[in-house]
Amino acid sequence: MIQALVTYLIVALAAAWIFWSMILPVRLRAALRRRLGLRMVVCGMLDRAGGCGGCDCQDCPLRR
Amino acid sequence: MPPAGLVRSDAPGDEPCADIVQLGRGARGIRGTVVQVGAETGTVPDCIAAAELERLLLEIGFVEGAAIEILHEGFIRGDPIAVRLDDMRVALRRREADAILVRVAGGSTHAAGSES
Amino acid sequence: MSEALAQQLCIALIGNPNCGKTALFNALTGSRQKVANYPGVTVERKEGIFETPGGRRIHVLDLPGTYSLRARSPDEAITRDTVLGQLATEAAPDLVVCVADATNLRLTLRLVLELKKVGRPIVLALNMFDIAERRGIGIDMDALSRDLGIPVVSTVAVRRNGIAALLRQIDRLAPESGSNGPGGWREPSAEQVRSAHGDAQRILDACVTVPGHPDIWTRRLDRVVLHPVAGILILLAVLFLVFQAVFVWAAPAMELIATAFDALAVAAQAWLPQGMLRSLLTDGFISGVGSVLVFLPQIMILFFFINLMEDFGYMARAAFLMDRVIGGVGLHGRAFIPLLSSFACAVPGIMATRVINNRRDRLATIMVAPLMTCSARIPVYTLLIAAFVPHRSIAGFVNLQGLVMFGLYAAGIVSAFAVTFVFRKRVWRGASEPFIMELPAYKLPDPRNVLMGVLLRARIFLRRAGTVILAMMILIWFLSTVPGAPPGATDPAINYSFAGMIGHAVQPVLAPIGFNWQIAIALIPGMAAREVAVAALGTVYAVGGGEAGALGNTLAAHWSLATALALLAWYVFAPQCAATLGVVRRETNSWRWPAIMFVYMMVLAYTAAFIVYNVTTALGG
Repeated sequence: MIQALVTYLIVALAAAWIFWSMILPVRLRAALRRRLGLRMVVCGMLDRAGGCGGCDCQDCPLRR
Repeated sequence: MPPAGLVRSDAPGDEPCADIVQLGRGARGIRGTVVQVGAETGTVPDCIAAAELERLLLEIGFVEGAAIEILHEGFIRGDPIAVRLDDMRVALRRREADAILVRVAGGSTHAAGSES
Repeated sequence: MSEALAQQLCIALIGNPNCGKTALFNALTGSRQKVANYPGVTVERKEGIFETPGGRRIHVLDLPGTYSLRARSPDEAITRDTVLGQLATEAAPDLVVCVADATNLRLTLRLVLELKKVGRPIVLALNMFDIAERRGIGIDMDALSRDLGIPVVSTVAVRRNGIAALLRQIDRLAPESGSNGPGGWREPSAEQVRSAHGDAQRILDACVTVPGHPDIWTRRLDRVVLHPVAGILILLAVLFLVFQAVFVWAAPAMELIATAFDALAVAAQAWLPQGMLRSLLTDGFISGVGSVLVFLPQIMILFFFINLMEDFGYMARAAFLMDRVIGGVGLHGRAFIPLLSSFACAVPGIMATRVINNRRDRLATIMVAPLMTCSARIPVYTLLIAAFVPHRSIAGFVNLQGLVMFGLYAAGIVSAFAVTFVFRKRVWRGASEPFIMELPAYKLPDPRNVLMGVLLRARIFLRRAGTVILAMMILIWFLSTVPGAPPGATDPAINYSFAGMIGHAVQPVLAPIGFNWQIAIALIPGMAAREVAVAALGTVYAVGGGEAGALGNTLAAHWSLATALALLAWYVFAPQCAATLGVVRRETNSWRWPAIMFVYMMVLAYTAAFIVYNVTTALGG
């Protein structure tokens, strides 16, 4: 029972991640981020070494 | 190869002045000096606006007075071409090179086959 | 812009392509990225942080290489807007470091003159100063500094302490942060560009002495490498070597990864109690990640060669040689690299299309990249070819199985050209981007930079495997597992899952191309990654253990030759890869292009499979 719950939770997380990062239109997500008080990412440092071009966050306001 | 001339054999020979050629019609080995960039080519069907091309060419160093030499050409219809432009090398298609007029230096007809 | 960033000093690196700007950036920040010798590769926006000897914390931006502030591509627009301080979200740089190839100053001097109009503090860094000295180029730095009106320093980015002078200059010049307003600049007219060239030439004449015959090596090499016949032969030999390396050298590493993940799955199977979570971890997580990671060796080897060729200066030559060949169908010479990458995997290939400035040229390349036979198709191809194509020789030396494999590769390439032709001549008939490209001087690649570039590519690929692809894998696992088999069921569990339902539902549509419901079901998990379809077929036919030979025998017993060939034809075209569609979505920033890609590839796949199935059936297959 708990197994099934954990499994469904993981699947739901994966679905939510896909929805958030790929299906949600960029503008809507940017608006949501602002509403939620999340930082607008102007690419960070080494973990985003690719910068705006290389990282795929889509939250970078530099990206057109 | 036929004997190298100033102008490629398939180019129409209606240049107003014999020693000024469109770069896009030059044969491999010709040397000269750029006399005009952004010339009316009249033969560019599929390209960007002439004024834009002119600035693009200027920015990469095609400027009046620059020394130029066609070093290499591609294996399909001799296109694109690689030119020596002062002390750098630039590759471009003949279609775009047509916007550059070159005054061919004397004696260049022999330069084509010899050490360049 | 956070508070912390606002208090740091921001500098921006700007310069022509091939000036070693990225190497300088690496030397400054210590973050290991990519030095390219191919004009335009530095199109990714990179930033880092370093500290000067004076203890200042500096925030540095590596801007895309450009000859002018005038923008023709989004990347160049970012360079311009950053320098001008027109990006609302980012502070304008407090200091612009203009990086120049000391052996090729002319165009940089004109760029400096243009930059001066912006009105920000500028430092000119003469990079690769050692090469210039070796070649006997004399640069009077004091005179240059006086004539340009800005500080000039020399740097050797690839050498230890090669940037000390630049760091000192940054310390000395650093103004207080925040003193920078919007820059003033207007797009120069052609006449202004001309007059700037004249000024640059005067400064060059006054400050720089060039020996009579510079750089004989580049000239000599070019005479062979760009030769119409020898050049093409060399290019083909290089491509052959690269492919050989990608497929042969990578094989042991790939086997190792596959074995390791299999072992991991077996271990997890033994450890965890029977149930859904175990299935998710072994069939979803472990096999999902494993089936993506298995491509890492190929991608790293491919990018090792690409980086090597870029740094050496060969990539620009390859683009020159290929321009007319692929330009005939409407592809830009630079599309050559992305298409080459796509033979390993379309994902890095599509990411590599950023080297193409023109949007239409770039989209055309993106749209056909998945038609290149990526290595994920190989397991499917080998399974079916081994099971259905007789192992015999034609004309004594050509192996029939090898011939079919070659035919499948060729079909991908030919159809890619055909599709591009249609796209470029029928859909976007607009102006095509001029092919004007500097051919940089040959340079010995710096091994450290090449390796760091490979690691960067690996990291980008893994980040995708770790996010999008993993999430997709989990969803597809869910589809093919839930709901489970009812008690007393005899068929494999996947038959009762959502994937099974979808498979049964679409089977009538696939019947005209000879696919049975087992294939229809296997195609659904195959969306995660093409080669997963092989495992899925094993599941559907209940052939356990991933025994390729056993599965092949089962398939040979159940399928007609026509069905097998139709499936091969299907796989040449089918958009059977969620990761590719996801990357296209991200690169084009809209669902429109992945949707178009999906539809056109699906139509091609169906048509090809239909023709192959019916022709083979008619011939008695």
